[in-house]
Amino acid sequence: MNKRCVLTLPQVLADKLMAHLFPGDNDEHGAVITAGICRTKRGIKLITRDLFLARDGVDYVPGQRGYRMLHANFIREKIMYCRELSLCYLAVHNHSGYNTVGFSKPDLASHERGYPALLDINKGLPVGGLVFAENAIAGDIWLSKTKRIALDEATVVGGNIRRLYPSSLVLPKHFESIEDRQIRLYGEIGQYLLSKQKVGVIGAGGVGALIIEYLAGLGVGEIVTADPDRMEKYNRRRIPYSTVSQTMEWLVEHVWEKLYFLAVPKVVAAKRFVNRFNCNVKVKAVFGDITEPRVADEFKDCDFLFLAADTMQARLMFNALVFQYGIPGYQIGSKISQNQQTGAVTNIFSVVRPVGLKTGCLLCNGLINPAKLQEEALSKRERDAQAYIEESDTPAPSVITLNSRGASQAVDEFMLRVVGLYGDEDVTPYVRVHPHLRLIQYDIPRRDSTCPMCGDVAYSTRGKGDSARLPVRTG
Amino acid sequence: MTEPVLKEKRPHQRVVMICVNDQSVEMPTRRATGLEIKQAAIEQGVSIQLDFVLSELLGDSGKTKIIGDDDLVHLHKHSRFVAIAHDDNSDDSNEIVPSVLTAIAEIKASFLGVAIVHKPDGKGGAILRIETVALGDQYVQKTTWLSCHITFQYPFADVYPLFVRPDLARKDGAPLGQGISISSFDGYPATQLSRRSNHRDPKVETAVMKILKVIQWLNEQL
Repeated sequence: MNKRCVLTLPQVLADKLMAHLFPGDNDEHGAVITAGICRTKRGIKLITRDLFLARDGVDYVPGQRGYRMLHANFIREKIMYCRELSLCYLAVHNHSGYNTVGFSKPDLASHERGYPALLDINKGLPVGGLVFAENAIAGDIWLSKTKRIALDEATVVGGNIRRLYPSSLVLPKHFESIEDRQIRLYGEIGQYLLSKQKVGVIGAGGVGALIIEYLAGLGVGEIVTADPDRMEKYNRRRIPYSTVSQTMEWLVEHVWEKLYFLAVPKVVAAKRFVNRFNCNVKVKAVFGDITEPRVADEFKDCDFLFLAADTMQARLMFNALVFQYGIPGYQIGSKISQNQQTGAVTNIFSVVRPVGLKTGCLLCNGLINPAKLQEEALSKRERDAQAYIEESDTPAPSVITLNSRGASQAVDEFMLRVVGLYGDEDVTPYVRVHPHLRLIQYDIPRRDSTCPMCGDVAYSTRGKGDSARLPVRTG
Repeated sequence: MTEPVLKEKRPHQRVVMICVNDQSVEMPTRRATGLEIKQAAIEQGVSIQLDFVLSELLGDSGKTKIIGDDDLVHLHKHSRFVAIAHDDNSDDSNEIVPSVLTAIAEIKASFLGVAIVHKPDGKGGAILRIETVALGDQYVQKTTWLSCHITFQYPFADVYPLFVRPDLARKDGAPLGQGISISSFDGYPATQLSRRSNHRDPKVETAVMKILKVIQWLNEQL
């Protein structure tokens, strides 16, 4: 069975490409997309990194065997770039028409003539061709000289997450849904699109548990969640599906505190809950820390990511996954600030931060504290030895109602973006809600084009997929 | 006729002799942690390292009990321990990630002619030590070693704190000042230099730049 092959394309690049391919002259135009590759059990995901437009008459010229062609000089320049950065090479052109598209015989003959050589130059990394029509895409991807696959779909990640196919999406006949009240909002197609989503939730604590609950209610296809902690007594008022038996609190408190290892991992509790609540939703429960390679690997081919963990290491990993693997994501949190001396509450807010190419990354916006990252990489003994650390291990205040504000806002936006009911605007500011002031603030994030994670520079890991290294630990 | 040898009556003391890897080790107290036992053994010449796994031999049965670094052990003169290294089979616990290797190379290039050693931290980072760094005239000592931990998430993670010799002292007898404190690093006593960069730019502030800045700062503490 052929593996699923998909392409992700940021809205900003898609807009630029569409304007180039379809300027209104009903002619053909060309371009090259470079893409990182992510290989998983689910299939192959190509992650768009760069778009190079071919200049008409210079790079895209009258063809020798077909109507038009990309000039060899242009191809050489781009394939060498791909070789240097370990990226896939995808030649792009357009056909007229809409909602359906396919390659012509001269297109395919050209692939067969030219792509084996490009594979050699590109050190075996995939090369291929893409053809666009209005609202449609087809792809012929060469994984090797003997193995080629068709592109199943492309995802354009903007405000709405648009999907392009070789021909219009038709609902499978067997598709049935009990989510009648939801379908009245976004239709059966919307429900179908939700059911195809693989969503990652990093952290299954107070915020993560609510997100998982909402996603299960929406009927997404699969939830992947990771958390290194077990259920404990103090989680019970923030995780609605928690039970006394999951925490083993009687044993822990009255017999031996080390029996804590018998408590149920948070991710297992989440999985059990989802199995009861909506058995159509698959759950992959990963008991471990996101900085472990085996844990991080599970999130690489997610369609959407939520960060619901409060460590800097988790933020860095989430940020890296979002940009390296082209996954739209949200960071959600809530904070209660107190005066260190008096204990008086000085600020309360919950925040939802969309993270994507146009909003810039958490690093660009000063939300990954390098000093905290360093501290978190140390063992408890090392931290204790280096007694300079001011913050104690005392847990921060946390309240379910504050968590739910952020969680519901983020999952609302996810749902609306997937079903196509989100506004046209791609830039979504950070939303900060201060319930004690009845105040909602919008922070416009910034993007640094030289950022090592989301920037446009050659050394940035954006869109590089498996060819770049995630900031995971080795041991 | 020889005079009988009088047994010298020793004053009551808490010192206890134990065995680590069949070598005698004198412990100053009757209770010690696993880490303290290993530290004492190393100081007294036993060929082990701090990251070795320590086990207590239980009688002659051949049974052993693993002692963690933080586990407290009651010592007596028959206490016997073994400390051994893991037998690595090409796993990646000794791997250092490329970004940290680059940082080490840059540091070595900036301290040409100075001995620099490093070892993996088991997570992809490294603990690095520069053997000789010149100190300013305000200090009693003329030079110090300087050590730091470059973690696996470098360059996004800061390189701090830095550590220098534990006996660092000023000629004028004044305290060392804010941001300088007595601590330990990698199992050894050290003077800690707490200079963290909350808003560092990972593209600009490299590990070597951080080290040079901290050395300059230390020598400017007049």
